[in-house]
Amino acid sequence: MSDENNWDQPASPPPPLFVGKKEKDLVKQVNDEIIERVVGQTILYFPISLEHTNFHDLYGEAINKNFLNPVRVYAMVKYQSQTTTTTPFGVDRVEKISVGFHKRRLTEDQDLFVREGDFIQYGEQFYEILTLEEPKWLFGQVESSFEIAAQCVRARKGLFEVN
Amino acid sequence: MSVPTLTPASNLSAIVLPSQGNTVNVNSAVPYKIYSEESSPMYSGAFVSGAVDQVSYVYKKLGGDVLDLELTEGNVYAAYEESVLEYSYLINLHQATNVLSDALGNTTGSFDEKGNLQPGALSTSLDGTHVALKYPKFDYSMTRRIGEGVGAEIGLNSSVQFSGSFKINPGTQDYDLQNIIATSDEFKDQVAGKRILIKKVYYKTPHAMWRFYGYYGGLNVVGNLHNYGQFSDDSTFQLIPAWHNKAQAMAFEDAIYTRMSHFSYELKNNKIRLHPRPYVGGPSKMWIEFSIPTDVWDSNDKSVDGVNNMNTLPMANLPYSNINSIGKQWIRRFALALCKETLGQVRSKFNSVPIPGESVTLNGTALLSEAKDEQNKLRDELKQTLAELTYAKMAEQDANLLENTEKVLDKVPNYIFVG
Repeated sequence: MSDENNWDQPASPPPPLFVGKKEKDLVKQVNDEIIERVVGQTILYFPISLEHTNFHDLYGEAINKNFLNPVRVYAMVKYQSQTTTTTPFGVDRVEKISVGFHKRRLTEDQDLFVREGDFIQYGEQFYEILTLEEPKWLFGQVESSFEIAAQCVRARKGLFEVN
Repeated sequence: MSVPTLTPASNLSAIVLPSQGNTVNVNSAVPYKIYSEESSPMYSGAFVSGAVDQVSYVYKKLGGDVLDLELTEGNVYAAYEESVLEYSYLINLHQATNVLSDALGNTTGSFDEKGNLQPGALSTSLDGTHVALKYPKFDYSMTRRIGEGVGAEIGLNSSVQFSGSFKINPGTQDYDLQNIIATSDEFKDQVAGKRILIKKVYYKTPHAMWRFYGYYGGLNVVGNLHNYGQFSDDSTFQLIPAWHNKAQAMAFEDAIYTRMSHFSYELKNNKIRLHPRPYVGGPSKMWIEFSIPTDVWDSNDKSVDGVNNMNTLPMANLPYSNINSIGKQWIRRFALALCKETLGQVRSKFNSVPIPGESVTLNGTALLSEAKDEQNKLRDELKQTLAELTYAKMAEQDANLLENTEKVLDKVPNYIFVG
């Protein structure tokens, strides 16, 4: 059989026909502009320093958490819910927010990586990042995940303090 | 409102129109470099400055000091160049309308890919000049050319008319004239395969015989008078006006040439058919007058190679320095509309751009629509103005002005001169 019809995988994949670097850059530019100039919601991101935090050997908890220098980040913050439960021990109020980070802005411009367990300050309150997900691919391209959605819950008093 | 500063600055891949342009960037950004390249014959420092100023104009008009414009300054420079060329195009169209009928047959020109006039055999006399800027003499060359054609048709001007004869044989009605002429020693070189155009067919008899057998007996004259035309068999004469006499003479001559000839003919393709059938004792030779139509482009007249329509008018791009303030403002507005179109193209590739948790719809479609609308309006505005300013229109306006002035003066009471 002739080899003429055999397909060989190219060394590098061809560029996308519709969404290439320029288009992705435009999306980033529009995102930066909207998030930072139009919406303008800012948070302070407190990355917990594993090296400088004394955590329990067995349970992994740290009563006092040390963090690296906080970073101001523009993000899309949405108020999610507030639930209040009454127990024999008193009233327990849980407040949740979601924070949408622009991934390329964080990683390319601010050298910042979002992690579960880090804390953020929005307004006067502190929130702990509980879960992270990357729900959006830019125009369906798996390598172009551009959003980090963080589900956060308000930190209980004493859990995280800034002196 | 001050512009919030992105901190840290997001320069990684952002394309944002700067608030001001830079002269050093102009030439590399424009596609044709007609006005911006220093080696170009149309180079203009004022164009470069104008293009730089256009950046600030676009920046302000599209709100660049409030939100980013996803344009480069190169986009603006390119739009500015296109705008100047568009203006040049419309003005040249207008001037072509003005002068074409006078310029037909004039020297044409050769152009490079940018529309610059090139030196060459036909354009040497125009090298370095811009006929688009000149106020031409009115030559009526088209009308004159038509007149020449009409004149040539009746044997005037430089047309060449031929005459020849062929023998007719008793009993033979059909003669292939094309063949007879084309194969004759006298005409074969001139005809050389071309068709001939028969203008006149006639035969001759001896003049003395015509007088002898002529009109109304021919031998009589008026009493003892024998002046020209007084051949008659009567002695009473009615006086008539001279024009009537002339008309009679023409009718008389016409009758001699046609009605009295006894023969007629018809042409079928190349053949002439004589009526009645030639007979013994009739004319032995027929004469024809004919011409040999040449190709309309085949001429020693150099004007055949000259301007023949709008395309061959030697009109180059307008020099930037010769565009007045009216044109400059049109150019600014048109360039702004072009920039808006480019921005619209950028913003409309994606109808909706995702942002974290949301998506945002950009105004690209609206920008495109507005830009097209503005461009059309600007073109129409200029075209309408120019249409009112053609030489023909201006003559009409002048005539109206004079007519209306006369109407006004008609209402003014005449003064009585009191000394």
